[in-house]
Amino acid sequence: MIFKTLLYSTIREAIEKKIVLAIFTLIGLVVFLMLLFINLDSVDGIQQMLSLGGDETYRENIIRFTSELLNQFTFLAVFFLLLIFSASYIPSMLEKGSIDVLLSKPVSRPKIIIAKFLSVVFLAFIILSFLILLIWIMVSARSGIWHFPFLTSILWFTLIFAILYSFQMFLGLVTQNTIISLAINLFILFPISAVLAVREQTIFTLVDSGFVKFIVDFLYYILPKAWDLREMCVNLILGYGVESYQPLITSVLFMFTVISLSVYYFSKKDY
Amino acid sequence: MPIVDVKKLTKQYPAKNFSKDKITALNNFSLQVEPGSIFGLLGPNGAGKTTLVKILLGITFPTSGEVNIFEKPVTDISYKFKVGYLPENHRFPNYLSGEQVLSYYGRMSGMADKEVKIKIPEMLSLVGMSDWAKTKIKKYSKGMMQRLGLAQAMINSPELIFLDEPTDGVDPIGRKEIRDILLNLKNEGKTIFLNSHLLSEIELVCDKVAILDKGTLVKMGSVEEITSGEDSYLFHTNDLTDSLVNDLILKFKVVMHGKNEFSYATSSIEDVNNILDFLRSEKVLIFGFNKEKTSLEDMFINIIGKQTVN
Repeated sequence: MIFKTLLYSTIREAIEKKIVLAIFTLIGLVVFLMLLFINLDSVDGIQQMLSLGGDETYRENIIRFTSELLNQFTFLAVFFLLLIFSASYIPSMLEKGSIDVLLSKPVSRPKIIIAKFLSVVFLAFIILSFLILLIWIMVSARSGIWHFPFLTSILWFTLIFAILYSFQMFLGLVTQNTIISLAINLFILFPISAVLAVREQTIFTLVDSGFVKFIVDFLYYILPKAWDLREMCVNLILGYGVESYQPLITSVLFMFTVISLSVYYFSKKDY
Repeated sequence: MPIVDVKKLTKQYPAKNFSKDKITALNNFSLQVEPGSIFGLLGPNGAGKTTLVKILLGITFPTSGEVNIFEKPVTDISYKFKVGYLPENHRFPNYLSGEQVLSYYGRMSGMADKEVKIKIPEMLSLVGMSDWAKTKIKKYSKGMMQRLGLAQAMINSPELIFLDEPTDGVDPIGRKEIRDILLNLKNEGKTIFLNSHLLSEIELVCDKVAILDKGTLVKMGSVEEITSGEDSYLFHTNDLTDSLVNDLILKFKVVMHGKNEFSYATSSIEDVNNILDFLRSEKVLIFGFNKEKTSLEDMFINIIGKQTVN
């Protein structure tokens, strides 16, 4: 009952703040542009070119094209918007006068935090499902290739969002400030995580110090690996298999650690 | 058995300037609230009133001491099913309407959907907000928000209600209506814990009052007990000089009502003669003085004034 109420209020807040509307409009706009693009005559030419290597190559190229399209768009636009909209949830809940009423209700503090986390992740799941299903249906209908493993990306992207949001939630609890928590999280997601994912080709070619390499490696292992997980998702969709599950395991461990810290911090804090 | 039982409660906050010193918000504080009564908590700003209420509701944690509500420690949140709370400067999601706010907080209080649907119109009618049920609360005035907050605190039919400045921003008619609601709740056997700066209101509705200053319980008892110890004398004189006013305040703890009128609270007739002697020695013309019933306000100012001087 409490979870249902918190879920409902989270979704309602997103709708009322017009954030969901903004995300759906953006998705609709991109999908509309893609529809225009795939109906161009020149696309037929591209299709013929892609099919020159035979049916299997054609199939692989189409799946790769769809996966990359989704990866770039979801990562740069939808994740960015989702993180922005979700950043204010915790700080606004902690505002004086609002947190007082909430904590006077017969709900345990861990339950409040976990319900908030799950309701935001659920909302992200709905938005990502809408986006991924639309792209999949559109490309598949045009190409005639219905690659069902592509839909697993809904779960992968929801998991990546959950990992990122867990950190966002923790920062929101500690700083009680939307802008600061968002800035730190986006900084870790985009520049830091992206550079650490390719540290051997970038940082390690510039630095010889063993100590610096150790620090960089240490950061890589403790921070969430959004970019590695994205690569992992594409490889699984293409059926290439996964070299190592380390990025998945360490990122999920990061998420559970950060959620535990959030619960502990929230449970002990005076408001 | 008291419904609220606080024993040797102390709350300290770390100082903000990185020093090792701690700020003591409540200092070895004990009190009991009996069921079916209206209990008033008084004190100047920063006395620790809101901190105490927050500890009673598990919003803030005590540094030491024991706090039991319905004979259970506050760490056991099950007591909150029987509690309602209206905080000072409460904030509800402003995209909701009045009835949606009540629905949300009713459900958060563990009420079933059916029960919430029945209680919402009842509560809105009680606080005179039925016509505004479907209006978004961002359009509400301060007084309307206060009425809605009161409805929110009562939605789950609590046995114990904590109200922090419930009449803040409410017009005089609204205040009277809120006072009537509180008295009705008392008649229904509910217990009310009231924090208010409005001493006249506390005097009108409370069975028992506690005066808090700098985290210390200064006085506790019924309004009659607190005000009966001393009589108040109202003096009318010629215009007094500033230095004479200072002397009167410092020596006799008088409460000035202008340059030529002041109140003096004391239980001793000798003190009255002493102040008369003092005024005559300063060549003050005394036009008259009357013995009056001491109001809670006089007593509050007298007690807090003495504490400040000490």
